[in-house]
Amino acid sequence: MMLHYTCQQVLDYLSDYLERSLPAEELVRLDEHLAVCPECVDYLNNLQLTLSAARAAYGERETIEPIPEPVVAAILAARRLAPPNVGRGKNETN
Amino acid sequence: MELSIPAPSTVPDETSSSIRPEEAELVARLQAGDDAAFETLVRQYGGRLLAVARQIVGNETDAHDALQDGLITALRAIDRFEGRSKLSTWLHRVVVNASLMRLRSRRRIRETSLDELLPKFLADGHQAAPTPSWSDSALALIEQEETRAAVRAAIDRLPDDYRSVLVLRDLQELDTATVAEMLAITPANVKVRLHRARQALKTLLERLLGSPERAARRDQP
Repeated sequence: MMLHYTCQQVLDYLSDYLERSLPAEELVRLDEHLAVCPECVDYLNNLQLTLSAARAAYGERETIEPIPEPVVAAILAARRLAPPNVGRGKNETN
Repeated sequence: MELSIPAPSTVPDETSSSIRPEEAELVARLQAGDDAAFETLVRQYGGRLLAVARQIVGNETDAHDALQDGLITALRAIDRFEGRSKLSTWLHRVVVNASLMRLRSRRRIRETSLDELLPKFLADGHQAAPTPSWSDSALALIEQEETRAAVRAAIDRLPDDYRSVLVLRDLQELDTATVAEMLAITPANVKVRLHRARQALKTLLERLLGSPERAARRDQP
């Protein structure tokens, strides 16, 4: 069977494929290629796992850690050094 | 360099609800110059915002600086906050902008060349090297803390221009148009960078999640 897309073209479209944002015609061509090319299927699977790994890497951390006290102290100190009109009434920063 | 403040009209209205009463009270106190209100803001929102900054800038020191820049900038602009979006959403945008500014103002020394991490092709369009199937246990592996730390380190190795798009789109889950606006690039450019960033990260994770057994079988004559 003559494929419309090469592996290179398929790999270029895989993010759009994963996000289901491809036009129908291109989707058919990609599916046609993936049906006969196990290497591109492996690449697609690994790309999906990469996304899962990235999300898992940060998944819980941001909701667990409170802001460290030294960082709070540094920000409050910087606030004291900021210009005196900061947060002191309407229209001063516009 | 002045940080950009998201205008009320550009703040994503992620919920249709207006500002909560406790947020409105905090904003009013901030606008009146109440120092204790600023400390409340820092403690209440700082942890989550620090995590956002850390994802974008890739290290603790720059994340602290970006958070500080962002919160001071937010305080300066608090009079412009009109409560059309949640305070947390607005602060998120301000800290993301501060983090991006910090990225632009520094020179990275550890980042990996992107070209080395993208797939190579033969003249006929086939992959130059076979893609190894990842381990059957890859899904379980990515939930382990040791793997998660290694994945974070791999994300940190991506060039800034690509890591920032990956973080904003895939981790912060902002839409393409919003990311394009924040980075002052076209939506098409966001999509190209995002795809390359994912491909590069995939390559960086090969050793971590690839299956040595399968690779060995493949390499046999």
